[in-house]
Amino acid sequence: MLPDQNKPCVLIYVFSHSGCEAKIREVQAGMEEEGIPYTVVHSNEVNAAALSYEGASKSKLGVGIGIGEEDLCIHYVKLPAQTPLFALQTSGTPGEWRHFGYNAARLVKGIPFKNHSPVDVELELHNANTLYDIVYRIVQKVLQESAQDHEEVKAWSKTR
Amino acid sequence: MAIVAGVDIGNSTTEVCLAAMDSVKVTNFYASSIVKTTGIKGTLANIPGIVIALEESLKKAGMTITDLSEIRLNEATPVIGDLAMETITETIITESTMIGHNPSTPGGVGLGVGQTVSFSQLASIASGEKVICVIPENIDFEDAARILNQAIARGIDLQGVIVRQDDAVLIANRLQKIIPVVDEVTLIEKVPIGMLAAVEVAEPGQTIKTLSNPYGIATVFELSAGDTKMVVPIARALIGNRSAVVVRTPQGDVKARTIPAGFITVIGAKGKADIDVEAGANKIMETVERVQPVLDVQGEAGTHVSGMLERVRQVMSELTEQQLGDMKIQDILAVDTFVPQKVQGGLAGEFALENAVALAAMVKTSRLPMEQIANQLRKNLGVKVVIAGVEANMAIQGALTTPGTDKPLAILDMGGGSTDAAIITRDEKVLSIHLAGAGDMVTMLINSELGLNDFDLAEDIKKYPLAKVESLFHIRLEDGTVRFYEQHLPPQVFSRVVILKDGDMIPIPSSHPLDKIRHVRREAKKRVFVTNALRSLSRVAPTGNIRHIEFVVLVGGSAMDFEVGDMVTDALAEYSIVCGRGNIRGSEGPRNAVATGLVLSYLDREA
Repeated sequence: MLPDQNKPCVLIYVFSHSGCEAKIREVQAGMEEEGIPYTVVHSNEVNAAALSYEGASKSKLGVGIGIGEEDLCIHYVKLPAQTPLFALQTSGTPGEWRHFGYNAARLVKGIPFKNHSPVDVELELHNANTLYDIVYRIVQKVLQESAQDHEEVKAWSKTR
Repeated sequence: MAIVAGVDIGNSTTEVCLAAMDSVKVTNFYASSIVKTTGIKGTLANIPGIVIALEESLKKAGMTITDLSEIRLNEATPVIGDLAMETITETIITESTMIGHNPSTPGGVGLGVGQTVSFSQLASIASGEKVICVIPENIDFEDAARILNQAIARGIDLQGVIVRQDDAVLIANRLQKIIPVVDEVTLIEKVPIGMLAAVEVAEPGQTIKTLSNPYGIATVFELSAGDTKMVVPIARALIGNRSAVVVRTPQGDVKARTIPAGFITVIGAKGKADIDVEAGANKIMETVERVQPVLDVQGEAGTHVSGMLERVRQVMSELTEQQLGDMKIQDILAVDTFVPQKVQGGLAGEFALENAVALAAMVKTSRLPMEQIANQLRKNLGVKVVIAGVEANMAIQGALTTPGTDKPLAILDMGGGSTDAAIITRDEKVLSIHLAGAGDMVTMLINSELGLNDFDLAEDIKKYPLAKVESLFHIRLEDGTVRFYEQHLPPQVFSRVVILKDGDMIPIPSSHPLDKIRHVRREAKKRVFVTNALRSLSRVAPTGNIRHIEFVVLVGGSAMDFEVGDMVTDALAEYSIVCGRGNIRGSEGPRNAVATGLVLSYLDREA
């Protein structure tokens, strides 16, 4: 057993495969941002749920992350072995890996989990082109309405 | 023997009481039922709800519609209320000068002051300059840290960092010196470049000290006394944050201004008074009390207040098919509140708490078209339908079936739209009053003060107790007791404040702690229900003195609430009044008073 496992930390159990380094990096970054210590352990187990459960059982904090080739899990020691808390059944994106790091740390910290929102709606709206389109459409509409019935537009703006 | 059904159409619920009676007394109360009122009270749209309620109670009693001898409807009090909220202050940042949001994990610690430079320009900055670096999206934290470290090595005095992504701790951990790093700034491209800026991050568990202090900002930016006055709103908006950024732009300006909300004119029996909505709830209510009874209320033309008052009139006029000019507002209840509003011009979706006044208004007209409902119901069901008695009298008759009550007795009917009080004296004289403001107003206050923007959620917060999910297996209830679960709780409720609704947990999607939500909920109830209880009882009290009422029975939907009853009981105990939730017929709780009264009134008619 690695000496590090005796420290209180989240254990990241990894089945080594090509590309796993990138996943480990994002998961680690997520936990570092939240300020929770972790240790990476390599294993021969392929299944992420089993990996994460082993991590959780051995972790002093009771939280483990399993990184498989095609799946990713967060497990908590008090849960049944077959039902990880969070599971990703695809290999996922860097953003998703980061969120698994955040949420494993948040499970330890006892604060609400972060939802992964792949598209930032607000940012989308402030994209110059979309904004231009929206403004263009509104201006067109107002112009049309005022051409048709000046009184009505006035009434509309008043009620706003 | 006759089978009689009493039907009470309320603002939010329709209730039925089903009983068998001979000519002198009720021989058997069969069943009662309660369903949601369909449509606005007093319109034909109520009929489906009435039929469902009737069928439900008949089914419980094992009967059908044909067994009914008579349906008795209440002469529903033609009272309708509406609500409005008027923000009276607002914070506007005319040019972006402030990032006051609270990312969950800012990095580093301290206060940094320097010129803002974009990440790509960093290489062209001369050594010795004090700078604050602005890092856009899609820059990896390792690249960011490496380039920042190179800049520091070249002698640039890096004072702080503003980041788009959630990378503050990652970057701060990799820098050679400890500087404040603020992240998750959504509109990073709007941060002005080449301007003097200050970044502050407090130690964990502490709040910022310099940027939340007007003199602190003045020191950082070397402001004059006049300019210092201008930054007060910034400082105020940043109080309580763990991190903040303030950028000084040449035309930069933050204004906390008062919105002209308009004035209202209260016309009462004892005169007429104008009051500015800005003056706040207390002043408005003082005015209302001074001129009461209120004959009408008008708003200054062209203002929000007037718009809201007009809307109430409009709805009521359509409902009763009476002239708009005949619609008189009989009461208003004003409550001071605050609304978290998005700061205009903010860069990270900052909110500032703005003062507001919530208003409930109520219109009373001569009658509702109950006759139409009765006719339609008669046609649909083939049963005799009678409109019996005034609602207040019926409610008192019903309330008197509560064990331990006696005349003189006052009832307090706290519903959704209005608070009604009635009193019956020893010589059977009944006096009643209807006041604006009840359950719906509480929902509005909760919704706005917590910034929920979700009326259903606010309604649930009002109705059900809270709990905090402390682990995947246990929750702590409002009173501190702990409940364990054998199955683990769903991740979406983990560590959140939840509403315990019929065995379900509804997470509240905000960062407010349980105590805050509970406080807002209880204060909203007190400000509406306790205020209105005192207001209405002192008006129906025969001498005008609330102490001369002995018994008060709480009835109606809001009396069912898990804490309103206790609050009112507590407040009235000061006046040595016996007050409690009604228990109609000794079995129904505070519900079904009017329906029961309607059934009982059958006997008076026979006699």
